[in-house]
Amino acid sequence: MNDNQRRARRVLTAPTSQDGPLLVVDDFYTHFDTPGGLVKAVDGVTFSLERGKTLGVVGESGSGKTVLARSLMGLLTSRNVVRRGSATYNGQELVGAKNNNLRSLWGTEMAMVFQDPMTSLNPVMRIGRQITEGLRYHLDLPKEEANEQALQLLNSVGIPDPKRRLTQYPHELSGGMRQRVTIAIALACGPKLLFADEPTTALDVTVQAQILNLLNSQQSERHMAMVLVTHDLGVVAGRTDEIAVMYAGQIVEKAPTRALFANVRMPYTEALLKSIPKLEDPSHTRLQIIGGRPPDLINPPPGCRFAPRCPYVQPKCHTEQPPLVEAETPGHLFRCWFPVGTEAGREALASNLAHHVPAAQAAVTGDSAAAAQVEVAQLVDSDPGGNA
Amino acid sequence: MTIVRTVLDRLVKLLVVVLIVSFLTFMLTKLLPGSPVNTILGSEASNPVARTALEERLGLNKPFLEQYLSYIHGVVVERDLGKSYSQDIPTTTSLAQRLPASLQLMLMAQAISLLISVPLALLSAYRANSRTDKAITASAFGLISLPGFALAVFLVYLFSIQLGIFPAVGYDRITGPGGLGENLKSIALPVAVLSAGLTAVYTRVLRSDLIATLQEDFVLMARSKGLPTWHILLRHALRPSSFSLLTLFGINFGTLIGGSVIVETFFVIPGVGELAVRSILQREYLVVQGVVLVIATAFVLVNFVTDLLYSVLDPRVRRTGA
Amino acid sequence: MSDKRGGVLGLAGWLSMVWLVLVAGGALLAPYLPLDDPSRSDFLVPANASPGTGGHLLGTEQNGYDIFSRLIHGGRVSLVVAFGVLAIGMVVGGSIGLVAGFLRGRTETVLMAVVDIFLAFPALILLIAIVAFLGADLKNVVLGISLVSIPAFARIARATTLTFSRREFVVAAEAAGASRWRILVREILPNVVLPLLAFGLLVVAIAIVAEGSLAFLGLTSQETISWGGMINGGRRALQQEDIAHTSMIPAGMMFLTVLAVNFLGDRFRAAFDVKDAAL
Repeated sequence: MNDNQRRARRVLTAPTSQDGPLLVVDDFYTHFDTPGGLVKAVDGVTFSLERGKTLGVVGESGSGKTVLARSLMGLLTSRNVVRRGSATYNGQELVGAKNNNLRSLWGTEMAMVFQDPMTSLNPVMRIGRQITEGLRYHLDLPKEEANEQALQLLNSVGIPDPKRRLTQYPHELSGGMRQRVTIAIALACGPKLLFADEPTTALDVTVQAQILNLLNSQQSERHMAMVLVTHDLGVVAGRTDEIAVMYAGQIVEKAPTRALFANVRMPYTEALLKSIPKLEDPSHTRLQIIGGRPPDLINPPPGCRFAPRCPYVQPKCHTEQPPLVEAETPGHLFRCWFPVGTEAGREALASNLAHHVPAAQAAVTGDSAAAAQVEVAQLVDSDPGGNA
Repeated sequence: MTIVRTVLDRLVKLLVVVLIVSFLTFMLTKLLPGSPVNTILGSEASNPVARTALEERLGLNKPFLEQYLSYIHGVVVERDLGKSYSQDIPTTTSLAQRLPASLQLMLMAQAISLLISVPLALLSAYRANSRTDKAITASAFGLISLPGFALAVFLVYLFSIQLGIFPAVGYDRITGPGGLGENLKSIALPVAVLSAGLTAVYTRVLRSDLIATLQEDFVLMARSKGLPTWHILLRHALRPSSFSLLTLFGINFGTLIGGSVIVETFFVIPGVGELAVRSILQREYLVVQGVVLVIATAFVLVNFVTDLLYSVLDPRVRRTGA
Repeated sequence: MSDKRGGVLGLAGWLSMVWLVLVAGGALLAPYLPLDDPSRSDFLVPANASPGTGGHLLGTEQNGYDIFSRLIHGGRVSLVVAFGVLAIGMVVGGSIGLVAGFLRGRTETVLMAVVDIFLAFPALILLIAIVAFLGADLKNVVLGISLVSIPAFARIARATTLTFSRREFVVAAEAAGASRWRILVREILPNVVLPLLAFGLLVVAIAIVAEGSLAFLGLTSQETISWGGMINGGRRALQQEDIAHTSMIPAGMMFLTVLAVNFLGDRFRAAFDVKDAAL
């Protein structure tokens, strides 16, 4: 091992400068100033993450999960982005930091794996070059050594015949292999924090598990902190230490993984859980759907944002936004006035069913007509004047 | 193996196109009213005996196809592109004399345009919608809308009349008495007029493609690697964005080979374009035919080369030969 | 794709529109407007008079004719060229492209090959040849410019038709049993016309410049008043500063008009561009 390799190795395994969480996010906002209004994509998110731990961020499209990841890293540079609050990496404040300072963190301290490996790799640049350019820029490695390291990286992410792959173009690889390459690229300079933004969504189901396993093993080997963003609760089930469920820009439930699945409190999370098809169900079981659609992020409803679609909804929910409170298990936070599994919640649901509230019917019986009604009601509510 | 086949395939198509072009060029003079006979005979045009004799000599009374074939034979084998009747100069000689001027105009204009437009487009696309960008885009738009001769008028007024830096007309060869200095001075304004239009178009086109590319995921990924901006712009964004630019660039090589007619006429530069116009106005059919044939063939050849270059730029194209 | 301030067109777009309406309106109404006779010298005022002398808003040119009046009348030529080229180009070129893009296969290959070969010939030289040999009147100028612009229209029409042919509403119509002719006319044609028209505006700008170039080279009939001719007429005048306006003013007029047409064409293209439109 020569000097450069030694230096590279040191970078890869250096401990954090201080004990405690690597990433601390406190009341973090990301808004977009558009001609139509201020889009509150991320509206007050708080969490912390230690090295070696994985946080799963789950939500449907429009929940703000992707914006959260990109905004935390500082990748959003369009002129209309407004970031507020605090997000510190290793003590260094990311919100309001200069572009150059942020850029010095990218690659070596934090990295991101994107959703679609076909579009996140440069189609006209060879694989090898895409891996080594980071190495050569950050670690100042000469060409041959960079190639050596690229080979080792490709090996470590499980790509067979890596020497040949180095000279190939992305379109010559399969989807799963391309994603492995993007992971290799992200990990090349030894980041301590990895954002994985829907890393398996664009892949075949058979390949998904492999990629997720790869991410997990790399994470433990390198003692990285990982934020795993996905819309699929199944993906985070066995692979995360903690899960944060996002809805309409806010965290609506956050808990250690086991606690979340065992004692779900927020109705939205419950609905997400229910919508996962289970192998043991008899065939032709109707899929549970959540009627309606996510709220308008420019003018979100005053009360709980999930209220229009919630089976447990009560009048209070429309007017007062529930704060994050802690459940019995420490570290389990949720946002609900009539949570699942409590007396208040059960009563609320029963009352709704008795009054034929569409959301409740849709949730309990899987009635798609009722689900459609929820959406119609939402549309009418959002536009009382009749001007769409 | 497939690459060889694709190239051969294209070469065959090229040959077919060139033949068709030559046929159409040949037809050109047949279709237009008036006859070369009139031009040559001049005052004797009404004399039927002279007419018949000349027609016999020129072979104009033979069947159409035979005329065409002998024409092709003349071009390919004997390098005969006809000649000017009033001055009795073979077209090949005229073209050879005039090609350097047009070539110099074209090469310099293209080079300067590229040198200016690429950095401008990069700057403009990177700072899209900023004031810099808006200024650049507006200027490009304005230049495109300014007709060449109008710009020429303005430049001559400013630099020749008022400031007296550059000559208003004329072309001094590099091999001439004034050497490179006079040559460059005489060609400065014409090149400026040509480059203005080219630069404006190239900047717009490249900027547009760059903006689209900069929104792609792989650019975001490159950024997330912590690479510096210039590296991303030049190494990641530029190549996939250059297709439209390359297409235009290639096409312009083809069109500019004909010399820029307006510029050459205005600045009195003895180039290919000026030859074409003068010959048309003087009804020198054969010269026109020869010039058009050369220009059109050159255009087709240049396009062929451009097409080949596509496969070099985009590896995805190589396989399919698209 | 709207500008925050002015909707699709924006402030500059509206200004362009206004300018073009003025030019076109002036051109159409020229004989009825209280203008000086554009072909009669005013003996009270010398030739090449500066703007403002003796009631001539923009001065007089080298023959003593009123420049302002000639500008307005010159617009007629530009107007005829614009509409003529647009009409012929869209009808002929558009049809070729439409048929090629819709029928595909051999027809498309042949048609497009013809178009591409046509493009190999230097347009301006061809145009000059046509006008010179057929006679330099307005009709031939319009025909000539239309002819060399047909390939461009054909290519755009074909590209647009290709995009639309694959869209779902066409597939749906086919599935419903509509005849090919009906699909072409009812479904595809209306959608192709708009982007083609947007492109057509850009062609119009080029056409106006082309006509100007021809006039500049002296290839117009003597009675026609055109901006290009005016620029050419004033060319010698550039030598002297105080009479340069005879050339510069018509140059400015042409520039502003072409700019306006270009701008509008660009805006429309952005609004109707098939690639930008959400599928």
